[in-house]
Amino acid sequence: MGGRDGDTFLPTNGVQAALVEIDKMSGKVAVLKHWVVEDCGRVINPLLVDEQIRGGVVQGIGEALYEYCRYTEDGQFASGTLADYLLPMAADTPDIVVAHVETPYSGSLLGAKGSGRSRRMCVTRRHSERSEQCALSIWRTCGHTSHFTGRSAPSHGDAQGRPGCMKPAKFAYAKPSTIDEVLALLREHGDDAAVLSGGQTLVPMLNLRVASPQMLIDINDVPGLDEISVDGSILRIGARSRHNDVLRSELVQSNAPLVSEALHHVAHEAIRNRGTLGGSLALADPAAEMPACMVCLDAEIVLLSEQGTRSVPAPNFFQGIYDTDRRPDELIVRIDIPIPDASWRFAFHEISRRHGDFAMAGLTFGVRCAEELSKPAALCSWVSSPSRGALRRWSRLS
Amino acid sequence: MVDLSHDECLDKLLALCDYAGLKQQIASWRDAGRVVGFGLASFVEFTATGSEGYGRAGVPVSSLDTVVVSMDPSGTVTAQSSAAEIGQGIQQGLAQILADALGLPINRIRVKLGDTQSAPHGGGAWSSRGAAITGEVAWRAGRKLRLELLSAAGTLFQIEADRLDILDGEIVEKETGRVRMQSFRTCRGDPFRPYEFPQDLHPQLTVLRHGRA
Repeated sequence: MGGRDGDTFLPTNGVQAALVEIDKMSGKVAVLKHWVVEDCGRVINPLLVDEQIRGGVVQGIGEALYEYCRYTEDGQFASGTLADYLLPMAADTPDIVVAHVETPYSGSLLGAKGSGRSRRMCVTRRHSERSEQCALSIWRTCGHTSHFTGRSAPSHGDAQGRPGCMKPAKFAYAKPSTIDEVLALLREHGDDAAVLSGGQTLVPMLNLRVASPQMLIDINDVPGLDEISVDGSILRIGARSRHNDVLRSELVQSNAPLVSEALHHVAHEAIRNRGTLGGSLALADPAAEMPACMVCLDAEIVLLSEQGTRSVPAPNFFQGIYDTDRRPDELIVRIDIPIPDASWRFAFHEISRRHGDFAMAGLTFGVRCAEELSKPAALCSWVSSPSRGALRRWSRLS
Repeated sequence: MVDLSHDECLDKLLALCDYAGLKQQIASWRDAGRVVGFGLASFVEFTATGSEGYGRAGVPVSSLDTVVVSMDPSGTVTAQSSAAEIGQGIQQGLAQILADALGLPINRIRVKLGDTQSAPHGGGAWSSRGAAITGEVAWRAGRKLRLELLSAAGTLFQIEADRLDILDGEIVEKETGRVRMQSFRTCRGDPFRPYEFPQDLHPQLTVLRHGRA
């Protein structure tokens, strides 16, 4: 009883279509809209069938554009976390229009056929064949790196361009306990060294082989780098101060409330427990909040090397995307923020896909409310969008 | 292969996305420098893999599914099935199928799934089989139970069973729509006064059906 003898399976058929756009700057592929017409025989519950189809389409988009199991050459699974293995999220999901044709299966009384898998196979194949090739050719032409759009991203490959190697390249590791040892190592290794502070960006970069330093200098044992104090009219924050320590510091809250407010938008609790202010400034990610705050507050970045101490005003320190005035032998040891007087008011705002994500655009703003009419005195906006390339406009108005 | 509808699906999709208008829109986007493309694919999906596939290949997975339907004296129908609910909605689907098969309101149907100590034998949830195989089995079990109820009612009312129907839980005469009895009373009458029913009336109110694709 049931199916007709000889039918090894019940054939469900249909057609799907997708409207896809590729951003020429970043290579990011976006599915603008998706259509499905399916014939699964008798539809018993249209709502359930529609949503199964939509779920399948989202899975297909994930397989085609994001999800990928990578293995290293020695067979180690290299995408074992959700940071390496990307799943499509609501923002990656287009409107999915679903309709049905009903041709009941003639071998049964009910006439229902299966539903729930075809769209996945279908979407995967089409998206990957059409858009991925296209995206890759755009990357090749523009020489652009992707903002981690998944397996199409050439940045996931190794130095020879082979895909799939995602664990760090070999590096030496030192964990000095004095600042002098750190400075000596920096002098010796210069550009080949990377300073490990909180590691919240550096370690993923190592794993993705975006960064491959010869020497990793761990400064977590060096005393005195995480002190927060007020010295006259200057708020001094040690470079290795964890984001959450800065966020919860009463000295920071009362003397630089802009920083406290902005830090709520820096990633998530767990990342703020490890990540450090100095690390964020040294990286100079165009989507980061702290560089913008420092420019707005006219902070000075204090750098130390065997040659001595150097103080660089934040507007001069940040020179471009991931580009700063720090010399290879220098370590950021402290950030000095001039404490604004009581007439200053500050504001912070950013737009991101979800709270804690990298900002697409943001603004830090300061204004002096004196007796005369208020005029904007400090303004810093920044923009970072994978679909428009990464831009930054940091300025301070006098 | 039969029961396919490629042309109808394609026509419906092209109408749905306004293909002519969309082509113009894409052309104007491209003129403006955007890289936009439209892709189409048709498919035939391999669903409800059955014994003919697995059996011949020597793959030891059950192609059978089972539904056991019982009506209790309160008129509630309980179905036990080998299908598994994994979020796909088969529990709701089976309840709808049984409600339609029996002519009962859906709130009189209870579907029990997922307890392997009490579930009847079957394949579970895989290969897009729930509606196609278990659904079909549920339909047949429900129709058999309905027939039992109607033939019992026919004996009671001395009328041919095929002149009766069950609508929204009530046994009615097809021609007149006259309500003769609550369906559940047919099965046991008052459970405390079964002696009021004819001695030879023994409707079977538990039905078991197996099915395969």
